[in-house]
Amino acid sequence: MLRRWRTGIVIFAAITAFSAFTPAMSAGVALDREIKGTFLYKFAPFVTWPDSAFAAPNAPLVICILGDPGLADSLQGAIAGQHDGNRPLVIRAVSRASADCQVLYVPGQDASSAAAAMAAAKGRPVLTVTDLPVDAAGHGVICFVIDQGHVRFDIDNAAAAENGLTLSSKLLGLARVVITKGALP
Amino acid sequence: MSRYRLWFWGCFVLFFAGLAVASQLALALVAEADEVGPSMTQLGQLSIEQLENVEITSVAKRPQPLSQAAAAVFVITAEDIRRSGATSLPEVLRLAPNLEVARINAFTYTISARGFNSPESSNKLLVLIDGRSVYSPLGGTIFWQGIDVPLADIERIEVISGPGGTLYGANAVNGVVNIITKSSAGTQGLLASMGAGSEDSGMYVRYGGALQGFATYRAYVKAFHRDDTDPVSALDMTQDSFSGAQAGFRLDGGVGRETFTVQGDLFGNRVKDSYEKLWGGDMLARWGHAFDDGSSLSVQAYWDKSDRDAVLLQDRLQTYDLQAQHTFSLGASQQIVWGGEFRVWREALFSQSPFHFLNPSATLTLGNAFAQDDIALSENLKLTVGTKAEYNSYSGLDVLPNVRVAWEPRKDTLFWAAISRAVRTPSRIDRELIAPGILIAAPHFGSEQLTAFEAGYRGEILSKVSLSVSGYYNDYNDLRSDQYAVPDIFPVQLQNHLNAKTYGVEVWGTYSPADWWRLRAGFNSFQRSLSLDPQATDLTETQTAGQDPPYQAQLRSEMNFGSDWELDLDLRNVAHVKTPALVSFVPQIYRTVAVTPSYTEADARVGWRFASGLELSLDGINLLHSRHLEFNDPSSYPPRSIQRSVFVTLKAAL
Repeated sequence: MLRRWRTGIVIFAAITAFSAFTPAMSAGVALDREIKGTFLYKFAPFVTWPDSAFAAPNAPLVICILGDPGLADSLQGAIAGQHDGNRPLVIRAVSRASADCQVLYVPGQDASSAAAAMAAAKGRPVLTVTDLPVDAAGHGVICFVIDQGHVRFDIDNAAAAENGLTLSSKLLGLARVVITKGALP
Repeated sequence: MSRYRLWFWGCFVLFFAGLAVASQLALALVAEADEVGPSMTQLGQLSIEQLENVEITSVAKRPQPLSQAAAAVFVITAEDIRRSGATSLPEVLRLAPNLEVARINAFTYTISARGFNSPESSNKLLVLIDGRSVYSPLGGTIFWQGIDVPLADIERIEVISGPGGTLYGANAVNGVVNIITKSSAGTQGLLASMGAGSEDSGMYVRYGGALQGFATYRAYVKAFHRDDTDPVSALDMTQDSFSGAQAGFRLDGGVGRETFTVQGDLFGNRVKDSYEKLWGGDMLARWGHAFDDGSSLSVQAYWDKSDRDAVLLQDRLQTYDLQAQHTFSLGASQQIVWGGEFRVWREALFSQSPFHFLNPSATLTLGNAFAQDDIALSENLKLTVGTKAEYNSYSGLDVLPNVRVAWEPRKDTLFWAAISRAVRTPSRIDRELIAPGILIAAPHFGSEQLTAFEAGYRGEILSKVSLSVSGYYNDYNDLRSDQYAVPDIFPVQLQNHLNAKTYGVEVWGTYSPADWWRLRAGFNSFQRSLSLDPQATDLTETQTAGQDPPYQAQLRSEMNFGSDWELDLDLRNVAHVKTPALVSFVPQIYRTVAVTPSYTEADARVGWRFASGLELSLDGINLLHSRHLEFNDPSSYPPRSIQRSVFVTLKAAL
């Protein structure tokens, strides 16, 4: 019996020491924010932008985050040196919708600021992403939802087509709900 | 102060020291990164599918809306478990207002839904851990002392009261407890916790990592010790202190449209002086495939070994199970799930008491096929029809149909009703147990039958109030009775001559007076009447009917003070349990004697996040009385009182 506890302590001490050298996950309350941030560049391989979206074949893929410079900073740290194909990934914190973005994320539940950004991006080759539900005014092409304690997303494929984007069937398959044309309110 | 306690405090000191060193090193390594930097780097190693599986344990999040199931479902979330301060799985199940949870002693419990609660009779509840059934074919019960799941790994527990035979098979008569652990994608990094208190101590360490873009894994070790409970009788000299250790892993991955999970555990638990020893292990593999048309197929296989040595008996059990299910849409309005299962139980029970099996070993087989169709009749009306045909090598074929209707007149308002049939199949004890001159085998003992009628409401009344109400009327036939094989002459035989009608109400709800404060309440009532077939008797005087309180009530308050402090209070009342009245020749006085007096108990918890990833909590359990009795049936276990206790836990997530 005593030996069992002793073994437990040794394992415990070993793992505790090991952990010091491991980049690990903080158990902060903002985990959903971090997951959403990570999704932003994980979407890229499943999206085809028209050539007109980029100045050059090896121009960077620019991910813009509206109104959350903290998230943009952390994301920049996380993706340093990464590419989408031959395009380097660039994160930019912006205060209003910009034409230079290929991905535009508008965090939060403020429908009016999201609607303004969506209007500015409409018809341009921008993958818009919001936290608003897919049936709400001001929602983006991709809409994050918290479902059963997980970050999931819904897709408005009509809005994607309107912006000249093609989303892969795999991405559509991963979405919780996909809205195609005609289903919009 | 036992030597185990000394060891635990020793661990505590080691833990702090180790933590101090580790955090210094970790801080030095990540000093340049933003506070959330390391986390996002690690998230970045996950595939997009894995990202979707990461569970968010945010304090600010409200509980998720329940699925639109037409059944009485209570969901215990990971956050509920964390805040409950519970140190064992049965204690967590107290959170479900639709369960009866009675602690018998330091090591075991008896748990049921909608009545029939006792170690002898609680054979109508199915418990599944990630799809692995832990129901014992020996007596049809659950040996809670041999079932452990690391509480920090649980994503949610779905507690369904009412029959679930169509989807879950035989023995899901009164309820199903479906324990679902987190995907390893959601348990990345290191988590360590250590707790010690007046009655319990425990430790748990988990590490999760990713295999680049392909799979994630976790592995854990845990150990616990629980002190003796108090004997009720001066003649009871047993010591029931309980300790054990468990280790396990889970691997989750996916390639394209394929997903897979492999998981396994090993455990060994022991009651003091080897009064009872349990050990075993399990291994489960699940494979899923998503088709282009949105349909999906999943195939699962598991093996489970669960051995138990108790006073005068040795029980050896192995379970092999294979199941598959396919889900697809038919047109725009029908969702169909169908599948099948095959299981083999190999059991051997060696007994040194007069009660034994003629042949200690038995192989039981079970096979079933099922189909269920969810039909959207209109935008807000859904009909579910389904049935399962299940064969078992004891009693042959049982058919387990159900019909359910759900009406959602507006968002967040659901009315539902259901009629179902369920059976409890014979256990080895029912069929094979013999004792010379006392009991003869019952080769014709058949399934116990239930027809259940249920209805309920679930919804949000106001923006801050959610409510669930369900009512049921259960009609049981062919329940187990004991009678003389030849009138008035021993030996006796187990037969199916008891009938019961039970009815009751289950209500629970939440109310959030403020952003930082949530109140929850739960209540259930239970009534029954028993009858015997003509000319039948039941010599054990309704032992089969269990020991059920006519009502239970609970109230919980959960408060957040800033983002660092939490205060949780829990108050519960369980009514007194009387001997069920059945046979008229039992004098009235014996019928109304309280077998277990009513009790009211309270728990309190203070949680403090004193640094990033570090949490300290202080729990007080059963605070109102120095001891109380929850279950009293000397025929199964010597009655023991459960003491007041305090418990300190330190948890670190790195």
